[in-house]
Amino acid sequence: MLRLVYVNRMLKPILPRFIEMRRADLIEMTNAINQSDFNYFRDLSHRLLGTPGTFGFHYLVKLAKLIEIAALNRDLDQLKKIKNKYEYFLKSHKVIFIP
Amino acid sequence: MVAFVNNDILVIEDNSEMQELLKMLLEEEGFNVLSVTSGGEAIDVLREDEPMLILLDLTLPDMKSDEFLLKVKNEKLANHVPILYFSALPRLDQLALPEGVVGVIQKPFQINEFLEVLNSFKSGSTSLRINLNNNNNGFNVNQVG
Repeated sequence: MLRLVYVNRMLKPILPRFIEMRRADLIEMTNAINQSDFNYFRDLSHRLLGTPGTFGFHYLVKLAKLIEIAALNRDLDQLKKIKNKYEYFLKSHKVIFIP
Repeated sequence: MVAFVNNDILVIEDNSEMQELLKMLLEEEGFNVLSVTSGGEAIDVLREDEPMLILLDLTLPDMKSDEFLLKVKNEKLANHVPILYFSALPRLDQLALPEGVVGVIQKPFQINEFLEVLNSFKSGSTSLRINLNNNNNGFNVNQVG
């Protein structure tokens, strides 16, 4: 499913770096799952509650809330599912710049 | 020596992405931005001079925000500089604002509303009290006093 993301045009110059950081999240999430590092996921959820929403990536904010709960419950299976959703979103989203 | 002039904002934020985002947005609006990542660094800066406004992340890596405010008060730094809290923590609307803190900005924020609030400080509107509105990820601004 294609997800449209409406991004304020002012953010265009720093959007590539933002996307790069989100791809880095995926690598770190994989490592954290392998090491059962729930603290990492708590930190990640906090970070994702800030910047992505301002960029217009509200789906990532939703995932951040799910990550926070799964990390608190130390639920690795759920964290793997969320990571897969995160990865799919990054592959399938389309950005539309708005004034 | 750090020399602040009109329109200078001190951003205290340890998240590098958010720092970068704020710097770009605020400089585009004509503000001068000085970013630091900790309360200690911020104190060092404030010992030198005063910005027009301080944006303070509630979760600092080296001290609690209350501790930061106490240090600022005890050293009589930034006496008349309004401070805006800045956080992704929940239930910020229930937070009692200490002296000197004029409002709270909830992350994530809407860019246009955020800039509107920040621009209001350019004209010296330090009597603004900004109330959080969690329902639309933004905030309301009410004139007080």
